[in-house]
Amino acid sequence: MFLFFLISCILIFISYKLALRKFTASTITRENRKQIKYFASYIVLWSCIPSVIFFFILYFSTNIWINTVITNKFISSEPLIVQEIVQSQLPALVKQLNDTNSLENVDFPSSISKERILEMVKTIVHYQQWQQLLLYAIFVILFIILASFLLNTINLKGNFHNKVEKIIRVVLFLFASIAILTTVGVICSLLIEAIKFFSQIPITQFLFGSNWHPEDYELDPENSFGVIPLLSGTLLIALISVSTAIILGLSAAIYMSEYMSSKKRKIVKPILEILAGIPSIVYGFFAAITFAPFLVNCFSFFGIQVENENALTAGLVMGIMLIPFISSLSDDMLHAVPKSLREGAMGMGSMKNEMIRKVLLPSAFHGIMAAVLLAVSRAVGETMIVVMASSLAANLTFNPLEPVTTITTQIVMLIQGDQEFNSPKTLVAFALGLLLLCITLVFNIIAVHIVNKYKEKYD
Amino acid sequence: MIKNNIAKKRYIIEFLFKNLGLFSIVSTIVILFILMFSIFSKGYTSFYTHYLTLEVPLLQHNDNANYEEILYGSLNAMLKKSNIENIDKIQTSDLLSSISISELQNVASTLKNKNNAESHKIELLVSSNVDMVLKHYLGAGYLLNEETIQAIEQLKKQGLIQTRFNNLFFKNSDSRYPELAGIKGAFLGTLYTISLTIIFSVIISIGAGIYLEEFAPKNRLINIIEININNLAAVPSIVFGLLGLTIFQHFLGVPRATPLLASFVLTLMSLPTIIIATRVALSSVPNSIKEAAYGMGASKVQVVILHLLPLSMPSILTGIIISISRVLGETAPLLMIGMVAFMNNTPSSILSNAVAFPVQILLWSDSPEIGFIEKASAASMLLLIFLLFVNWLSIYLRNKFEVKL
Amino acid sequence: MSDINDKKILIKDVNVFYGTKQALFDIDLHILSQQVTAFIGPSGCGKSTFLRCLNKMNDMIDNCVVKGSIKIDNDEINAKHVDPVALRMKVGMVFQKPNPFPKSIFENVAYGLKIHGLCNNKAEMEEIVISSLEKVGLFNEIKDRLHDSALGLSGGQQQRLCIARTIAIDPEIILMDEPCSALDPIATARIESLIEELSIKYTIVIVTHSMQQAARVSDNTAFFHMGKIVEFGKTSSIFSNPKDKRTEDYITGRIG
Repeated sequence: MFLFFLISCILIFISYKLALRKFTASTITRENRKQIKYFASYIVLWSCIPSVIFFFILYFSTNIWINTVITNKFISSEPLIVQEIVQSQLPALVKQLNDTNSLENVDFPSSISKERILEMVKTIVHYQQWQQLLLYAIFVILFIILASFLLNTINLKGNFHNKVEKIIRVVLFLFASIAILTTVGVICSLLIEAIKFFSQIPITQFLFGSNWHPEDYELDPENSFGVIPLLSGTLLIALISVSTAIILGLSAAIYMSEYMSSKKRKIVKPILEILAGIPSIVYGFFAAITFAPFLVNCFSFFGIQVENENALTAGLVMGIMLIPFISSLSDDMLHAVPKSLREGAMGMGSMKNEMIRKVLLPSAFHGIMAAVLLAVSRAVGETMIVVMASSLAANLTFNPLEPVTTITTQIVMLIQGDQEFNSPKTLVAFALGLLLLCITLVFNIIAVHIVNKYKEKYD
Repeated sequence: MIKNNIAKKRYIIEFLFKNLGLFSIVSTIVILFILMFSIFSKGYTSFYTHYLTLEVPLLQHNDNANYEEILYGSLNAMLKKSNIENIDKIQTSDLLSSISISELQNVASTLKNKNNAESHKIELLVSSNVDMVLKHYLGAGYLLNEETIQAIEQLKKQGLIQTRFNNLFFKNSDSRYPELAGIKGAFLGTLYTISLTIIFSVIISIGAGIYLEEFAPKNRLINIIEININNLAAVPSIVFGLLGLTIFQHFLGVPRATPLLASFVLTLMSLPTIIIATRVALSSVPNSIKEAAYGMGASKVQVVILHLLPLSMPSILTGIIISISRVLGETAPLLMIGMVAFMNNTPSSILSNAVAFPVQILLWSDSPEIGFIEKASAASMLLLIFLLFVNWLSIYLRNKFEVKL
Repeated sequence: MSDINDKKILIKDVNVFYGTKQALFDIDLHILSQQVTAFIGPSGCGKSTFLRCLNKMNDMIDNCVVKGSIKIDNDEINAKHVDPVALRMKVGMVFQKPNPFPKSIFENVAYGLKIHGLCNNKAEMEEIVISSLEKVGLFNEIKDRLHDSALGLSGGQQQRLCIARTIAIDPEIILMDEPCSALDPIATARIESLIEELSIKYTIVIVTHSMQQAARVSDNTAFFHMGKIVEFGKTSSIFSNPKDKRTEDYITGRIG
C-alpha cells in the first residue's frame, strides 16, 4: 500500500509539472493566468481518480479470484479441519511466511501435514505478488494514458477553476452522503438479519413472549425468545437511573441557575460536566467493584439479603452518569425563560422557590421533559454499565433488588459467544438491536419535537 | 398571628428548597470524588511491584541443569537463613512469579563465560498473590495460608523484598498471570484505532459540514441528510457495533477484531458530533468577512479554505477533541466486532488482531484474580487521567484561540 | 482609448425580486466611464440592491432573482454562464462597514493578487501592494507595521485599506456601498478626496444616503425611490433644479 501511495504521488507530481508547462509565455494573459494551476489540478484529478478507482476495483476482484482459485485448487480436496484452519488463519499464515520465510512458529494440530500447508501458503503468496505487480503496472499505464490524452486534447481556454471547484463540490457531497449511507446501513443490517430471525420465530412470539432462554432454544424454539423480561428489565433500570438523575440533576440545575452567583457557577458546572466525560466502562467498573459490594453491605446491615448483581446498582450508577445530561439541558431551558416572567412573579412578592415552582418549572416544563426523554433513550441504549453490573438472568420482575437483564446485555452475550451465523440464537441479537433502535429513536424524535415546539414559544 | 405562621412556613419551605439544590450539587460532587478516589486508590499500586532478593548458588550455564530445583532449593535455603518458622507449611511455589525459572535460566546464560560465578544475588519478581499481600490490598491473600503471609511480612522486614517501579505494566501486553500483565498491547490497539478514526472522521465530517453549511442547495435530499445526522447522534453505540459486524465485517470483508474495522465503526459514531460542531463553527464566522472575500472575486472554495476554515478551526478542533475522547472510551461496539479476545502479543499493524484500552479494562475486571482487578483499576485510572486532560485541553484551546471578531 | 462619455455600464429593464417581493422595478440606466455616479435615496429604496447587481453579489442571497440586462463594455453580465469570480475581478466593491480580513495589512492587500494569481513573484506582489497603499495615502501612515493585524487600524484607515485591497487587482469599476457611513467626518473627507483622485482612472459607482456627499463627489446622480429610478442626470442639474417633485422633496428634506 505504501508503494502504491508513493507511485501515485510521483505520477501526480510529474503530470502536474507537465500541465503547468503547457502554458507558455505567449498564451498567458492577465485573465487566464490563474487558470494555469487549476488546469494542472484538473488534469491531475481526471487522470488520478479513475485510475485509483480502477485499481481498487481490480484489487478487490482479483483478491476474490485468488481466493476461489486457492479454494478450488487446494483446499476443497483437503479434510475439513485443514480447510477450516487455512481459511481462518490465512492472513496470519501469509504474514508469517512473508516475515520469516517459514512457518516454524505456527502451531498446527499434529494431524496436519505442515508441508502441504506451507505449499498452499507459498502458492498464495506467489499469486499475490504477481497480482500486485500487475495491478501497479496497470495503474501506472492507465494514469499515463489518461494524463497524456487529456494534456493533448483539452483546450486551454476553458474555465478550469470552476471545473475543479465542481469536482471538489461533488467530493464534499459524497462525504455528506456518508451520513445517510450510515443510516441506511444501520437499518438494512438490522432489518435483514431480523427478518431472517422472524422467518424462523414468529414476531408475535418474540414481542409478547415472557420466556427468555436463548441458550436452550433447541428444546423449544417458539418459547425461548420472549422479549418481555428484557424489556421490563431495561425499563426498570432506565426508570431507576432517570429518576435518580432527575432528582439530583434537576435540583442541581435549579440551584445553579437561580441561586448561585455566576462566578461559582463557572466553577461548579465544569465539575459536574466531568461526569459526562467519564467513559461508561469506568462507570461499569465502579458499579461492579465498588458500588455493588457497598450496596450489598448496606442492605445486609438492615438484614436484607441482596445479590451482587441487582437492578438498583446498575440503575443508580447509570443515574450518576445521566446527571450532567439532565442538569445542563435543564439549565439551558431555565435560562431560555424570559426575564420578564421571573420579575413578574417576584414583583408579586412570591418567594424564590414559589417563583421557581409556579412559574419557571411550568414554563420550562417542555424543555425539561425533552431532556428527560433524551436521558431515557440514553439509558435504554447504555451497554457497558449493565453488562458489568446487571445479571444475565431474565427475571420478569419490578423489584429493584432482584437481578434483571437488559436488551443491550443480551445483545453483547449473544454476539460475543461463538457464532453460527444463521442460528436464531445469533440472529435474535439483530432483532433486539432493531427493537432498541426503535425505542431510542421514538424517544429521541419526541424529545426533538418537543424542543422545537418549545423554541417557537419564546422566539 | 396567622399571617406570621404562613410567613414562617414559607421561609421554611424556601430554606428546604434551596438546600435541596445545594445538597444535590454537593452530593454529586462527592460522588464524583468517591468514584475517582475508589479507582485511583485501587489503581495506583499497579505502578510499583515487589522483588525478592534470592541468593542462588553455583549458577553456571548447563543445558541439563534443573533450574526448578535450583530455584526452590535456594528459596528454602533463604527461608531457613531468615529464621522463618514452619517452613514446611509455607507455599513456596506460590511465592515467586511464573517466569522466575526462565529468568534464572536467562541469568545463567549471560553468565556463561564468567567462571567467577559462584553464588549470585538476583532479584526475582514475586507472584501477584504475594504482591497483593504486601500492598495490603483489600481481599488479598485468600489463596495463601497464615504461615506464608507471616513469612512474607518477615521477609519484607528483613529487607529481602524490595519495592520497585513496575515497568512490566508498561512494557508487557496482557498475560495469564496478573503480575506480568501490562497495557502495552491495549495501548497500541487503541492508538492505531484512534489514529485511523481521527484521520477518517476529520476528513469526512469537516467535508460534510462544509458541504451542508456552505454549498448545499436547499432541497429535500439535504433536509433528509440533516435530520439523519441529528438522529444518528442518538443511535445507541451497540447498534453501530452490529452495523460494523454485518456491513464491514461480513459484507465488505474487513478482517475481524482489527483496528481498521474498529476505526470504521468509531468513525461513523463520531461523525454526527463533528459535523454539527463544524456547522456551528462555520455559521458563526461573520458575514462581513464572507462578503469582503466574495466582493474581491474569491470563489466559494477559496472563501472556505482561506477564511472560514482558519477562523472556525478552534471550535471545530474542540468538537473533534470532544467527539474523539468520547469514542476513545467506547467499549460496546468493539465487543460486537470481536475485539474482546485474550491477546498476549502487541498488535503490529492496523490489520492484526488487537484489543482496545477500554476492552482491556473489561477483560481484567471480569477475571477472578485480585491482581487483575488492580490492573483494571490502574488502566481505568490512566484512561480517566487522559480524558480529564483532553477535556481540559479542549477548554484551553477554545479559550486561547478564540478569534475576537 | 475610451471616450470620456463612453457608456461603461448599460442597464435595461432590470427587475429584482426577493422571493415574491419585488425590490426593483424596470431600472434603465447608464454609467459613464471614468466618472463618479452616485445613487441617492431614502433607506430601503433599493439602491444597495441595485449596486449589488452590478457585480452579481445578489447571487449569494438564496431567493434573490435578477431579471433584465446589465451590460459592461457591451458584455452581458446578468446571465447564468457568466462567472461571478471573473466579473468581480473587473468590478471591485467597497462595503458599508470596513471589513478587512483578520490578517496582516500586507496580506489584506495581497489577497486579491493571490487568489487571482496575478503575480509571478514576491517582489512584484510587494511592489503592487505598496503602490496600492500609496494610492490611497495609507502607506506613509503604516509603513512600519505592514505585517501587523489590519484590525488594529482606525475605522477610516480600515476603509482606505479596503479600497487599496480593491484597486490592487486593478479593476475597471469600483462599487462603493455607503463607504463613509461608519466613519467620522475627518475620515469621510479623506475618503471623498480619494474618490475624486480615483475617478481619473476608474469608473466609480457610489451609494450614499448623504446628499451633500453626492453633491461633493459625483458627476452624475440617480435618485431612487420605492425601487424605481425617479430621476437621473448630471449632479449639478439634479441638485439645482430637480424635475421631479419627489426628488425635490427628498433634497430639501421633506421625505427620507
